[in-house]
Amino acid sequence: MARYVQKSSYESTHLDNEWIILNTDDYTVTKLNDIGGFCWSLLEAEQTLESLTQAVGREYLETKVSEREIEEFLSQLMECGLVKYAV
Amino acid sequence: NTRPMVLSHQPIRFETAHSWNK
Repeated sequence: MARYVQKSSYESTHLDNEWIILNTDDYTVTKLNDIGGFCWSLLEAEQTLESLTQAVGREYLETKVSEREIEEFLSQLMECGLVKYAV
Repeated sequence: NTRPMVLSHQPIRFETAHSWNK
């Protein structure tokens, strides 16, 4: 099972249900929605698809998020240079 | 907010980024 973690502890701020992350290595700004930001905050520690999906399910009771959607989101974060596979 | 999403991703203008460090 693949494990994911933040590439570095970049500066992030939470404003109006959106998260803004400053990547000071690549000089980029990435904006996430609230659930995305929640996932990002969990990724300070290593996470699997399963652990993230379960945590989101516990936090957002009315929202059904599948592992597939989490995986797609993590792929996007990797493309943005914010997340990597944990070694 | 029905699933985690990247809303936007964009580079910072060089002049701005440069002033972070120097």
